[in-house]
Amino acid sequence: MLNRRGFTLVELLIALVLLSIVSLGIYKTLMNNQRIYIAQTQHIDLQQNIRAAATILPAEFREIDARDSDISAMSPTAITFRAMRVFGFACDPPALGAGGSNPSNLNLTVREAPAPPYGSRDFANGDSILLYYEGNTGSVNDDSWIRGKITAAPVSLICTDTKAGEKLVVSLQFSTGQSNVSGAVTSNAPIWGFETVTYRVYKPAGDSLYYVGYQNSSGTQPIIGPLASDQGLNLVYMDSLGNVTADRTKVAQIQITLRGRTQQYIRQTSGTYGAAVDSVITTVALRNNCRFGC
Amino acid sequence: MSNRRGFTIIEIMIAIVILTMGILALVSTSALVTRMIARGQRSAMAGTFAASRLEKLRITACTAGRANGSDTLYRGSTWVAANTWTFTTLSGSTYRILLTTKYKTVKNRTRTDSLETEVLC
Repeated sequence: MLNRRGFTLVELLIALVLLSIVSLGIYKTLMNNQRIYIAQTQHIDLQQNIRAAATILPAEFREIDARDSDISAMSPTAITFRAMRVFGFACDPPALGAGGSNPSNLNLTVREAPAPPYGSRDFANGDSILLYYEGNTGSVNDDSWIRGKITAAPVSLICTDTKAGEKLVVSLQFSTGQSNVSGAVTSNAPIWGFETVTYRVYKPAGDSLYYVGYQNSSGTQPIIGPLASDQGLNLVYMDSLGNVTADRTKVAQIQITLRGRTQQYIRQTSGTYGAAVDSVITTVALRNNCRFGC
Repeated sequence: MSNRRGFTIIEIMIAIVILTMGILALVSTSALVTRMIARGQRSAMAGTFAASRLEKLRITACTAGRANGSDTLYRGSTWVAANTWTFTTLSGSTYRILLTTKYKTVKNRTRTDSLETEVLC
């Protein structure tokens, strides 16, 4: 006959105690895993953020031509400058010859889709422009760029050669060596479009954290962050010798310090909960620096 | 009738010891990987530090401020990376910059990398 004896109470209790010890261990390990996973995700976000800052800001600042007054305002936590946005060709140049050295309300047609214009966006109202000045077509010595501004929203218009185009209304500002005469700007003249943008420490409405904000005519939006504090972005402007300068036309290099923090609090090595902070320092050399002959 | 004899305790202990040695080898690999990640992070930090300096030197190379020098990056109060740079005049307006970066990796060991470029003024 089979032995039908079951477990004794003592055996059962020992088994229960062992089981609870083992499950407690497993539970602790799982919770630990969960916490480390959250902390690591936050760290990855933080590092990607400051890496993005170290890529985006230098790429934008490198295009600044300080000697040509591209910087219109600068402080440790904000910089306002003209940023290059679009490049195209004028299929129908403006009718020149009237209006003195500052003619306004000139019609200019640029080539449209599929491409050009090239750039991160199309021409827009309010853009500063640089239009190629040909002057005497038999000489390269007088070739330069005319400054100007787009003063109305662009509208579609077919070029005289029946290709797709876009009409811009511009005002121009002729400089020394340029004269407002018919034929000074030829067909297919290159044209650059710039917009005034501001990068600054920004706290969106309803948010308690600071970000790097990107501001243009359509408003401000946070692009990098959150930052460690309202001083999380620190810009130092230096001249070509590396001395700190307050003269906007003498800036040759900008040192960018960015201190970011994690969105959520994570467990620190000390055992307390808090936001982890990481930082990056980089320097960017601006174009058109004092190089040749100075 | 078949032989129902199981393993002896000695056999099991030998098996456990061998298994433990295998697992320990795996664990030491993960420690190595962790150290390599840390080294990569420090090398990236030193790389950023060196690139930042080189960007500055590109400008000062063309000015009267052109001079050999060095600087150090601190994290808290301990140094983590140090740059040393020298200018060599190649011709009247062309300069070669040699930038050497020494940085801490792991266990207080250091590593040296160098960047070299020429600037036309």
